Amino acid sequence: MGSSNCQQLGHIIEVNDLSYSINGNTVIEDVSFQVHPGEYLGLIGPNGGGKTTLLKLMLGLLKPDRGTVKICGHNVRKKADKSVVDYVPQRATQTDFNFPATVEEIVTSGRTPRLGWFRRLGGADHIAIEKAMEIADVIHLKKRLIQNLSGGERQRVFIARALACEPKILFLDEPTSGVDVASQNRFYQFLSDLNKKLKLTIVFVSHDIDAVSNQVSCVLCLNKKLVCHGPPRDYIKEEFLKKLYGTQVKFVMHGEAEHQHEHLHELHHEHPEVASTGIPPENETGLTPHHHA
Amino acid sequence: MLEIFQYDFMVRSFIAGLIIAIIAPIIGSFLVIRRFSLLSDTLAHVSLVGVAVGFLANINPLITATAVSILAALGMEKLRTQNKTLGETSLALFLSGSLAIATVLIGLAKGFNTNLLSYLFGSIATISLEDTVYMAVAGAVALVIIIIFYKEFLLVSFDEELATAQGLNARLFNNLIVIIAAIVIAVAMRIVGILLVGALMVIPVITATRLGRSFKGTLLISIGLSVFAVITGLFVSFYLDLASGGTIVVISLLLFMASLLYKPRVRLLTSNKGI
Repeated sequence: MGSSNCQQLGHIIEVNDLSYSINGNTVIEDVSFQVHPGEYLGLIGPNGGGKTTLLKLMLGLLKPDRGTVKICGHNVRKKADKSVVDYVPQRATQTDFNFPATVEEIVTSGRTPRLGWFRRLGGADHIAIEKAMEIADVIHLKKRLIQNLSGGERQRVFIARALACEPKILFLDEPTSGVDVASQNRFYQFLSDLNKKLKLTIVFVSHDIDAVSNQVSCVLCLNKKLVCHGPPRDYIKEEFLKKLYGTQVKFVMHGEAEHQHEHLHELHHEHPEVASTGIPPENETGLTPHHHA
Repeated sequence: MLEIFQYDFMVRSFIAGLIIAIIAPIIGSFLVIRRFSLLSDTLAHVSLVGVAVGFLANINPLITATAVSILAALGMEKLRTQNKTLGETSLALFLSGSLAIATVLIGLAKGFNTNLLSYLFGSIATISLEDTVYMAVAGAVALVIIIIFYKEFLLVSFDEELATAQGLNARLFNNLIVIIAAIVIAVAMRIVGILLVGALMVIPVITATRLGRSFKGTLLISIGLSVFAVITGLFVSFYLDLASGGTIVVISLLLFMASLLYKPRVRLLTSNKGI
């Protein structure tokens, strides 16, 4: 079993000297780090900094120019046991969710890789699927069509789909894009619960520094190279963020009384990914609220 | 017994028609989900190249059409995966390009005659026993593959990236989907004709998406609509002496228009809700 192997290793993901370029432009350069079992890792950095690319490299979806990614000690491009990982993509843009499909059907499809060829769903599979829907709190939506759900509900359905495979590591790419702020906070709380209760290792890409600093156990800042890696309290500071984002971005500090530590919001941030999915830009204002004193 | 079944060719076309009516909307659904429904029309045009090759080489055009369509389908799939943005443009390239190649080849084969028209628009009266056997075998193979890999096809169509991340061989299943699409087109062209094959794969699916309450339900409805359209189409075309392909597609279209009268689900009320 790959899982016992992971316990012995002490780390579940190992990234070594990873480099990747698109048409001669370096996107990722000499990135090395390790992720430990049960870690809640937030991956932050400017647009074009290579966050999504790094995630795809970690999933084995892209072939690195140099370096390796190992999951449970096995190279992801070779014979790693993929059933331990699962992925919630940014937005399933290529899929037409106006095509009728129920929440249950979508979640069930996530179980497919576990089954192998020629095998049909058995009792254990149905239990895992039900449990995934319960955890993600979409069980009451079971028979509803995915096209009739809100952005937040859909996102939870995709999480349930990922959980149906009973993964050890959950990768999420900008999981809250297009979701309103109140829902976002609940969503991050939900991820945090998953991390604590299920001992699920979570790696997520985010543009939302505030959420990262509040929730994650470890932060990884990426701008082609690894800028920082460690507990958020050490790195969510202005000097690091300036280094990470350069001078294009201004940060506002919120010294609100009810909060113990400083909150940081990005003031100016473009989301080409969001724009390309056809979500109206009004959502963006919802993403980064500013309370000026 | 009805007069219609006294003709061998009508019996044959009912058998072939039923096979197509069942498979075409299933494969059509997988194409519609990934917004690749024009693949069916493109492959249909490509299959004309195969027909021309059959004319030239004096082989049953159904066999050459299947072979050429499969090759082209794999080629298009390769282009699509190599560069995502090329998806649609590769269709345009293959669609018009293959028509050009086909006209040149058919010219060389001196094949611009009624025989060609029967492939373009379908002609059930000219379906031979050999054709029927071929259609039944190819259709059965396609149906068995669909049944075996239904859940894989579903995952790959819903989310190709996720499927790959989870370790599924997405390329294999994508290739299988387009291969089956190519087979269905080659099998269906004797009944509905190259120019109308795409309609049979897509129109019943579009109608079903307006009525379905689940993926499986939508699939079953689309099969039902397609079987209904093919059977009534064959009857109507026989008694009114009309082209079978056109009649079948017109009936599909009428069913779609009837579905417009069905009150669509209220989406705005539910989609604006928060988490």
